[in-house]
Amino acid sequence: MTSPSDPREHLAALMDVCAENAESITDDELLKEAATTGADARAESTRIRGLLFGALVKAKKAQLADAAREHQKGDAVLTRRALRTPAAAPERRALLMQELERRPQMKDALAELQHRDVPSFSDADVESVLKQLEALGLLSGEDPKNEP
Amino acid sequence: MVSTTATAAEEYATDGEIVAAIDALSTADTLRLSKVAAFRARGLAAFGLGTSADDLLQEAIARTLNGSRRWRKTVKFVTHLTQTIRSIANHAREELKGGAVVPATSDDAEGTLDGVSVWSATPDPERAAAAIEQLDKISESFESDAEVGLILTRLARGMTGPEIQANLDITQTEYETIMTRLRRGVDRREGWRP
Repeated sequence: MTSPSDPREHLAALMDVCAENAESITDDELLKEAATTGADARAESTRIRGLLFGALVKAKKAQLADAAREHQKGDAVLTRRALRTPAAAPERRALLMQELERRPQMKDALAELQHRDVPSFSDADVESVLKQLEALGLLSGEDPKNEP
Repeated sequence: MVSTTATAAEEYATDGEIVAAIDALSTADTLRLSKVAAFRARGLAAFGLGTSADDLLQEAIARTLNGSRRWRKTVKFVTHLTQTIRSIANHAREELKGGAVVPATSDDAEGTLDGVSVWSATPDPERAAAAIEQLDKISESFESDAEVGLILTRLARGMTGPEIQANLDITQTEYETIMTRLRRGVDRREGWRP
């Protein structure tokens, strides 16, 4: 037990126990109380439900806006990084093979990811994998041809 | 491992389930939320915070949706919201302990913060005086109810609900009955009207 020397704490504690009482009383008591005070329970109920729906829509919109921003940021990063990879398909394939020679343990992981062996990767697969490797900082870029 | 993850995912409500839960709130549920939020907001007002009951309800939904306070479906939705509101209010108060929200004036010679409230490390004496006045008026309105008076005196000493119950040697039901009278009286005084 700590005595609230701060009167604001005391007042807040009083409001807390009132809130706890409102949390614990039965539905019947709440409805009877509203009826005896002449309160329009139905109107308040409609207002509260509307308020909660409004808050939900607002929060959802904010979530979607955040997701869209992140998506755009991710796309921009990948596009920017893609500029570092060679423009021609054979060169991109050569770069990937070079990277896999450097990190042989990556070969199996990539094969599992793409559901096929690395030599049978399509040009689009090669480009996509290179973008992902570069985005993850796993592309060494030592080949001068790869520099922007 | 996989089954644990699946269980955890099923345990928490999806956005669609939250929408359905709002839709399914009964009149009593919404009245309860309204009252609980009003009392929590009054607790914050004691510290000079202008957070309204509606603000608390909206913030509770926002936190439920953004995952910072997820709704575990084994808990009733209305209970989840009242618990979330309590958590929001307690957190806001914790941040103000020993200090206050005051209008920015003293260190603002250029007046760039006119009308803006800032946190001060010193408790606001005006707010403390207002709290004393409000407490006195609440006590006065229960002058004819000795049992409520006993509870108010013990609250002033910093006792919690169970401590008061034990100190007065009363049952849980008796305590709840007196507390209901106290809550209704404060509601009448503070002007709660749906």
